[in-house]
Amino acid sequence: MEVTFTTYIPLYLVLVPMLTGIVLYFFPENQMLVRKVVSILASLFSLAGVIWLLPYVLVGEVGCDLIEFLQFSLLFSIDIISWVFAVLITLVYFLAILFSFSYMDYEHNRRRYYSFLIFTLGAMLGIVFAGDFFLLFIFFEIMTFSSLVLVIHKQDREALQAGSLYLYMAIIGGLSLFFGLLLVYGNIGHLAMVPALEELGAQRLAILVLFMIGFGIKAGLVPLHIWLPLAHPVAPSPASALLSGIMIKAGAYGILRVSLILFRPAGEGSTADWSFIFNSGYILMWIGIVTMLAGALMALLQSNAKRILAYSSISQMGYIAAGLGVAVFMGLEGAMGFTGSLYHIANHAVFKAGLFSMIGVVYMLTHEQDLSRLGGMARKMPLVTVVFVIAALGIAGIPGFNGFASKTLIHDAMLESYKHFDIYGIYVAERFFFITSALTICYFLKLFQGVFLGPVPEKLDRDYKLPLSANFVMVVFAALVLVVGIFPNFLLERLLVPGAQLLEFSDYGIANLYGFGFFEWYPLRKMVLVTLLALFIYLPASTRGWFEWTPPPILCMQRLIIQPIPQLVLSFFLRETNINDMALGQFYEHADKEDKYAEYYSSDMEEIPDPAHDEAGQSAYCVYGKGLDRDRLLKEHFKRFFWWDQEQWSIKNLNFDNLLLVFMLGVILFIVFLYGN
Amino acid sequence: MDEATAITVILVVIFFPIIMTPILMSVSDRSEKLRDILAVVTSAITFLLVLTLYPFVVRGGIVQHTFFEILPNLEISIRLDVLSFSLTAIASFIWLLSTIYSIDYMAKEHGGSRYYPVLMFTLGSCLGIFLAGDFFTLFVFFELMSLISYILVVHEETEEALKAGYKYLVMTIIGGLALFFGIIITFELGGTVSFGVGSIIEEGTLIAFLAFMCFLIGFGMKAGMFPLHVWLPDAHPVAPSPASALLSGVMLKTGAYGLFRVIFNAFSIEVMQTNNWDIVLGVLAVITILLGSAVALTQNDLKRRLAYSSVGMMGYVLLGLSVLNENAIIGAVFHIFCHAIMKSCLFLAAGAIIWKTGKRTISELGSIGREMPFTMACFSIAALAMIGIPPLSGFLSKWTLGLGALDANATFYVIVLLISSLLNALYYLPIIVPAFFEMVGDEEQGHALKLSVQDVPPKMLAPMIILAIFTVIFGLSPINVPFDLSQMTSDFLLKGGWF
Repeated sequence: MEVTFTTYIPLYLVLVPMLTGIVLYFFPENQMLVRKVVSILASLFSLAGVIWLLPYVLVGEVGCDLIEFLQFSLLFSIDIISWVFAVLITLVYFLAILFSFSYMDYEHNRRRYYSFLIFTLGAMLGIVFAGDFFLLFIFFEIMTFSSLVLVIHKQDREALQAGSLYLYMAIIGGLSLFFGLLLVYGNIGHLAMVPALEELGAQRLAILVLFMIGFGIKAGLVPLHIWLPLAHPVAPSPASALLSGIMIKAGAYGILRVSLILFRPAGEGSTADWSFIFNSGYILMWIGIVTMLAGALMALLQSNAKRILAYSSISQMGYIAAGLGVAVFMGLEGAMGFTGSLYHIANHAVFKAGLFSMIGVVYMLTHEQDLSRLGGMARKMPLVTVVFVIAALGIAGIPGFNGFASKTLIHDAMLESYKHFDIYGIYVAERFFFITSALTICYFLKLFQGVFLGPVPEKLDRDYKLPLSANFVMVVFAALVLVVGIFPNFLLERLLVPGAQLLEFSDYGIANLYGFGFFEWYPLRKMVLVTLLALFIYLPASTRGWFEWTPPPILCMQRLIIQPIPQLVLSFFLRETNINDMALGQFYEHADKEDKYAEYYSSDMEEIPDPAHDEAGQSAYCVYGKGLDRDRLLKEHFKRFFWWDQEQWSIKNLNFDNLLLVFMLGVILFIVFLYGN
Repeated sequence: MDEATAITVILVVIFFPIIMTPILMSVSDRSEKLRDILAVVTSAITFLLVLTLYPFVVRGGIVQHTFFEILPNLEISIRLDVLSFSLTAIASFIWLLSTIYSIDYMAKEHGGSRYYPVLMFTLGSCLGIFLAGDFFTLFVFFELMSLISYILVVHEETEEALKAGYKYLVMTIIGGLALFFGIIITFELGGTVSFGVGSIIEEGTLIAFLAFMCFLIGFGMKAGMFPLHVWLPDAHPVAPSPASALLSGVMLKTGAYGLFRVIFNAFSIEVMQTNNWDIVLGVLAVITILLGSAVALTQNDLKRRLAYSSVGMMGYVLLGLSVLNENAIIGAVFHIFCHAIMKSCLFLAAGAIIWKTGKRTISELGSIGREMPFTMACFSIAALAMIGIPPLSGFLSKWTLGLGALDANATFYVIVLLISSLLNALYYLPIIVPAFFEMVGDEEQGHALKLSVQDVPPKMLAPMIILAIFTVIFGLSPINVPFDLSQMTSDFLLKGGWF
């Protein structure tokens, strides 16, 4: 990318929070006030710096080329797309840190928490400011590993379990990104973010898959999402807000950069294979559809408030992936899908972080997050109720709230692509989109009913005093949801459309986006239908208790795939290598003893076979026995790796998800919809 | 610095520690403190003298000096080029840190009056290997170092140590004999064994292959190559921890260095590749990597796990040597640097844990990070670097090795590297994560329980911290001396490696 305005601000924006985090760690534990002030100042600094960059970003690219190193130059560059991410990151971080002031007073080990919170801010900004994939990868890994500390903060068994799954998934993701980058570098000799589909050659499919695995794990795309519903809820609420609102977007950012920039043909009249682009986009869209549906279905079955939100994040990431997929396979006409998903990234960051703070406030005051033990909070915390309703209406896509704008754009992009290509699959995908939107309303109704309506449990029947900072944060989030929702065209035209222009979409598609009619009858009618469908599903289901249904644990993905397959592969691999190694050791040790038989051999030919055979048999038996020992040891090792306890498994307490269930329900809904329409 | 001075410095570097050995021995009867100081001073002077050679080497200076001939063309000579300088520098550096670490560590142990002289003698002979000018001189120092380091292996004098030491001794002798045979064949075929003449053998005849296999057995044994690694996981853990750090961090590299010399000075890249000898090395490297990493996973003894990890990591160097293109050689040399730093850091940290708490098995190490935060922080940084997390130094060596493998169209090797990284993660992370995050005792009490910080004394901590810092700055910092040296080495070797 060409840098038009050179400034070192991006470097400072990355380094200042990271260094602040490191310095804060060595501050004495009891000086909480200093810690709070310093961390909020650091986040304000980043926010101010990012906003300061806006005028320059609007006219061109801002960045700096630091040093020549290896074959790379460490290059920071910010275009309008990175800027949108950056402003979201700094804004939500600012609010989350503010929220931590009140929330973390009830928690232990605050020193570690604040340092790592600030540190990850720098790493996140590094990801979006990176000018090439190499730097992006480095910051991506730094962010992943430092946010482990936030996930594992509670340090109880559940947190360690979630943390270890997170860690191993992160390592697999990091390694596949590493491999992908190596292949790209091996083929085109640089890692700049420029269109280079033609040069990727025959390995392009492998590269795309590796990148999708690497970024998809972070973004929580099905079937790589398994760590997410475990890891996001166990973190402290402000950290969950950041994990779900912001860090998950690092994956979306990576997918965006790879699929819409790297895998694009360079220049006009190139020999690029458009069918490859179409297929990759089409598959990405379907991954998005499956993700959104699976996330919504799983969210419906949860009883833990934060886990509902985590599954909801997966579902919303599905919307984003679907929008990106449409943008990819529409080629030059993909402006609407792209702006839709970028818009949804922004909106999701706001309302999901907001929702996590609101549920966090409830948890902070009641120490309950299970729906069956909560209720009636509407009377106890009226403010939380109001802002929760606003944020939930935002995520449900009700007109006048921000989710409506982005969902309408993604939906319209799908319809447009159906008109363009006339492929029945896109039509089916659109139907699924429709169902998922209804299910979204359903699980929020469930969450709202569980937390805020009904009788107040006896244990929780007392007066609650909400801290000022928490109130402020929640109100700001709700206000953002409302403002964006009422004026949806402002952000779209000022920030998102210029972003689309960078990606060389056709002028025709972009012109459509100016003055887009959000509040016209067609999108409104869709929303009314969605709401009706939601009520149609929710009312009978909730009265009959369908949402409390517990699927049999044999359907758990954990039990079916995640535990047995690595265990089998690793066990086999380890057993073989171990036995070989031991046999080798035995061989050396017995070589010594064979000397004695050599003596026999010279004196008496008859005697040697027996002891020699005995010896051989003994060592074989010994190897076999040790092999069994190793097997036993392996089992213990597995317990240590994953902290998994097979006996405790059930959908409710560990809340795994469950692909089979999703597919079964998916097929049923599919049939119902095809024939019911 | 001109050549004559360089020769003097090289001689001093080799023989100063050896001369100091009897002095240390006589001093240690009188004052233990003086002995400790003298040992540190000796290694420090050696390291500083090695550093003075740096400008000479960077300018491209090469020393090849013959002192005398034992037989016609069989000479005692020294050589300094960028490859030997790289190894010498890292070896003397790690040695200095290890010696400093030993002061407090060995105060608890017996036999200090034997330990320090042997340590210094081994330093001299180890540097002699790196600075030898021909295979015969190298062989002499190689045998000296191998035999003397036996005393370090059996230092604890337990039954286990003696058994491991016996194994080590037998293997060393096998390796030495193979090496000797290889040198004789080379001498017979080429008429010389000097490093100063380019490739000695230029045709891949059967007898040349025999020489190659002999060298491979001799040096591969030292480098812990499959199937000759059996002594390593026994011998490294039983030694005192600073000595394990040296055994794993430095002395393993003498084997790798020997293979460099064999490939580039006894033979050449063309001989290796036209006769497919690189495939032999490649197969062994892949097995070594996978076996080392996988077996490390099942070890429950901390130091044994680290020792098996060394086996796997030396496989990386062998892999680079089998691919033999620019990036792969950079990667192999840089991995020697990285592994020396990371593995010594890990062994020193493991030693600190054993020294302080007496815990050796991994399952006992839960929440050790709260008792010994600095030690475990160093351990974690080095272990993360081993896994290859950017921006730590292990990432860079993996990246370069991977690029080399891709340049040679060997995607398979990259996959092996990735599998091994994953296994590295699987055996290092279950040490690190519980060390910091596992609760001791009751979960409710766990938070409240304040573990008092009782880290090791600064003389033990400082070497670890220095190594951990180097792990970070040799990752992606713009001034990366080891990486520059690796690049120079690669250029130098690809141009023939002798002029």
